[in-house]
Amino acid sequence: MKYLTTLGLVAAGLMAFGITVQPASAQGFYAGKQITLVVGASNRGTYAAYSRLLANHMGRHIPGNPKIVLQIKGGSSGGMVAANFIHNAVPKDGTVMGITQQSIPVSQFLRPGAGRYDATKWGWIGNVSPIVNMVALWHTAGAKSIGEAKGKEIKIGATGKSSPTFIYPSLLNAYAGTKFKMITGYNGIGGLNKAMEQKETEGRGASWLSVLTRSPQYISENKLFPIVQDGLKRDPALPNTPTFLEIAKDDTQKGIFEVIAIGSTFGRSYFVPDGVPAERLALLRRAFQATMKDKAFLADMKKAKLPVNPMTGEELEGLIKRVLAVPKPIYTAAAKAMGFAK
Amino acid sequence: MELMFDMAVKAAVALSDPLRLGFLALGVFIGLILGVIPGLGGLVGLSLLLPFTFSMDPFTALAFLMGLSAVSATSDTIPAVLFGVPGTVASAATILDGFPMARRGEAGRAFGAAFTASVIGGLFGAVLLGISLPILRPVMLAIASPELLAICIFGLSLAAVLAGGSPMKGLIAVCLGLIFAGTGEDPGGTLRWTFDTLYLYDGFRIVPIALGLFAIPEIADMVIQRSAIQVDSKAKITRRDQWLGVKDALRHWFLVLRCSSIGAGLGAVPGIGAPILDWVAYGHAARTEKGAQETFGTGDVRGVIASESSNNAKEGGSLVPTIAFGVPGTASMALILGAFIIHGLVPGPDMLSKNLDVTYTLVWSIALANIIGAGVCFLFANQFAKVAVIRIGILAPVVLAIIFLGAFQGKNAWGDIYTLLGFGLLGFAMKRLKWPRPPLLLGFVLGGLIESYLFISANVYSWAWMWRPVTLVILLITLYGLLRPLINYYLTKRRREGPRVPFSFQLQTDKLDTNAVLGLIALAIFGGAIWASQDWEFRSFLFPRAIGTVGIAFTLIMLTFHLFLSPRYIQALKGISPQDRVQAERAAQTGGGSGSGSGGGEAGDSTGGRHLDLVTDFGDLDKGTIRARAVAYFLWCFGYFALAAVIGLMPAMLVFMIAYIRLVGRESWQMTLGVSAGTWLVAYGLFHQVLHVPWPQTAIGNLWPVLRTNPMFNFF
Repeated sequence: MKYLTTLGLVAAGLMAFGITVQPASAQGFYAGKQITLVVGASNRGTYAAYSRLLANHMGRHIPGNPKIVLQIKGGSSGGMVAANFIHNAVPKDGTVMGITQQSIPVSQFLRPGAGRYDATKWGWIGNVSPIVNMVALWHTAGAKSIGEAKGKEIKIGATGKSSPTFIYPSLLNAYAGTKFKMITGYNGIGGLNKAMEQKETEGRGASWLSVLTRSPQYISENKLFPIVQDGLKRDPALPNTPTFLEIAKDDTQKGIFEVIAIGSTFGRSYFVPDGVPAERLALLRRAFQATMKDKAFLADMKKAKLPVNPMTGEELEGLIKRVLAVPKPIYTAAAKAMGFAK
Repeated sequence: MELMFDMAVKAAVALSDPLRLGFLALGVFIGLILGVIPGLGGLVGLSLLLPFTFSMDPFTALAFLMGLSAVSATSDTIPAVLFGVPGTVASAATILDGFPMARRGEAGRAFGAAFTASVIGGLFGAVLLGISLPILRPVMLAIASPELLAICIFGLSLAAVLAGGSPMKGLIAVCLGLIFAGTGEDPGGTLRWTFDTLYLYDGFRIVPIALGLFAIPEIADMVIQRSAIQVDSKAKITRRDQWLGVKDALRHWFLVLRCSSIGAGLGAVPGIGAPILDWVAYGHAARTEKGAQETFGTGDVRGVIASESSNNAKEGGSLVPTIAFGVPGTASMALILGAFIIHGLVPGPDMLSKNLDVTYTLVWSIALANIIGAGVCFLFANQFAKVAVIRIGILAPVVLAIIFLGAFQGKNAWGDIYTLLGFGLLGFAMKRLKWPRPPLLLGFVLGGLIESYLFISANVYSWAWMWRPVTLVILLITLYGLLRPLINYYLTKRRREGPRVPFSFQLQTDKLDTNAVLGLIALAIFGGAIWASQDWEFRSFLFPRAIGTVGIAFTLIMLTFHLFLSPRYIQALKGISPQDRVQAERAAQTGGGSGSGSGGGEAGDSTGGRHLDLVTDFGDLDKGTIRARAVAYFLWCFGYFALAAVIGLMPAMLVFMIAYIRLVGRESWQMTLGVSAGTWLVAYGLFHQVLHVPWPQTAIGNLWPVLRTNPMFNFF
């Protein structure tokens, strides 16, 4: 009987606790609530790093100061899992927001049928920063630009075929006359860097951010030379490197490169699923904008060397319109160029 | 050199700040708790606590995180010894001898030996890292993909040792492991054996597989026996037992050092890490220690020492590539690397010059954490050990409930539970039929690495990769290790030529047993794997088809031997004379007829060594009872799973425990509710409130999404 009494007391205590943490909604919807931030990437990369810092600071700017907790849907399939999950299976009251891989909105058109989501219907909160992918050559490759690299066999390391580290150099092979020999199977940025230092490979793709945070000495010691970047315009960190769009030779190429550029422009963008009440989305957008100007947030980001070049939710809506405006044949051609379609 | 010394002192002074020491101790404490709970470990703790370190200075943050990460391999021994359930994947090999020791009432001794081995191993790793810093980058630069490939092949070759007396079954298990490792999207972009299941896109996770292979069968056997873990419930664990274990570890100091170097060395190889280095150390000990072939797997304290000294030494080793190149040696290191970046520390040359003091903070933290961690474990081991006398009707459901939650940490998806139960059934069958399980784990961990490094090596260096000096040496050592038993076999065979057994080739109808069925299942898996690869491109199909073909060959050989040759002939082939056989049979009788399907020519074999895996002795239970209880046990497991799919994992956990303890354990209501509610509340606090585990979608949650809105109870 003693156990039962104890159990009863514990249950009563829990209930009391449950009641105290949920005061009347006088302070608005989010008072006493918790926002779940679903991250469609591993807990080690920059998606999680951006999200942790955002979660630490954004709650302060939402009326009611809800706590924001991360829910990692990791692995290389994480982006698709998170997109499907948020689109179909979470409460649509603004208590769940998410971030997924930057390629997901475009991938919906590149690989139709691969996912069960529609990113064009999501409520976009904002983007902390577009993340620019690039291709760079090691100093031993004997080439510092696309022009110099043409016709030379240069070994480029990559993680896997569906990764940007493979796709971007392959696009140069297909459209810019380079003859990169692709070596796949490396383990992440660290593995790619080590392979270059060991002279196994002579170049790599991935984001420029990964060079800035993981091996800035490559830049100061003149060891790594970026030869192309994506994005709709040149990144402030790479003012002298041409974009894919700049090297396009015809309209089809331009279309294909634009599709790819839009993907990386989504960068580290946050969203809520379709169906969240408009006033709550507006609330989250305002809070996001305020966070982007928050001194403590910016200081943390600077310490972590994560760039902040924010875009508003409205700007992301504009980007979605560009995704929708791309003609279907361009998607088909882009899918083929990126290796998604046979 | 002077700089090194100065920086080491500077780091020690920085770390001696009481606040930093306090955080280090806090990290150690959290790490120990996470290590005890199956499925959780340093990785979970790191990802949980990383955000709290942003506002600390780098010394404090790294001391805290390293403290946490360094000790989960100390406390994971506790469930491994007590229940035969690995606390983290790093302690799976500890089970083989630690668990039989606990059953004999020697848990205290096992703990004493394990914690001593752990702390020495941990310190060894730290010292090795500390003194090798200046040569770290040049050494690592010399280890390119071909060398890594050779190291992985060496690791895989140890499967032959771990297969013990069942070489064919061991080889089949390795091939199965390699096939499972290949599941998911490969570097060539092909989706291999994913059956359109999103879960399988990035392959299986090690945690549910390890728990399935080792934990589920262990609990099954206890449930079937209906006994507490410790056979003699009166034996008490005293400080003297622990001291005995300490002396064991110190007496075998050379073994500790050898296994520590294996741990530190393999820890430095990215991707190998915790899941297999304990097996490599165990295999090494089994091959080199005197008489190990006879006693390992039956509660030999040296087995515990080998495994535990290696898994703590890995921490120092895995920091090496992380510091030198930003290549994380283990998954935990990837998060430590994340912490570096958050604090603006760049891995590479800077860590060995400008930021050398930070690097030394890591070294000191590992050393201190290991000392504190082992100390705490020594203090509390007596309390933990009392668990061994708890009635199985209470213990089994509690451990099982936690294993389900632990397995779910793999990918936080239902697939983890399917994996757990699937490998649970496989592990149970393998254990009963004496198919060695460690080789499967080895194949699983090394499969992906070997494939990647093989293609990189072939693409970059073509055939020249084999002739690189370091690679060649490692490959030759591997070859010698593989051939040595064969050479010994032929040398001893000539000496002990007994009377010839006539060759006969005919179907042995009594051998159409479960062993044959498992063989046929393996055959189906290999055949199916090859068949599914027909549309793949070269890079994607080469490895699977090669493995599948080899697997089929091994399985056919096994089946032929098993079904068509007489046991006597097989034993004569293995070089066992009739005298040996009589002796072996006598030994088997005194040890109690262990298991039903001890299978064909595998029993009582003395050249290939004995069976290096746990064997449960069911005493005088008859086959029918064993079968009925096994079926009931798995029905409970699947029932738990089915209920979880409807009402959620957390609610189902409570219902499961109450139902099992009351109906199977036949405990009083007070006991039933007290234990169930207590366990559930702890699990709720840890998994739901602290870890914020994203629970999988359930039927009622899909029906009423509103159930997912309250953060206190959103299990659906």
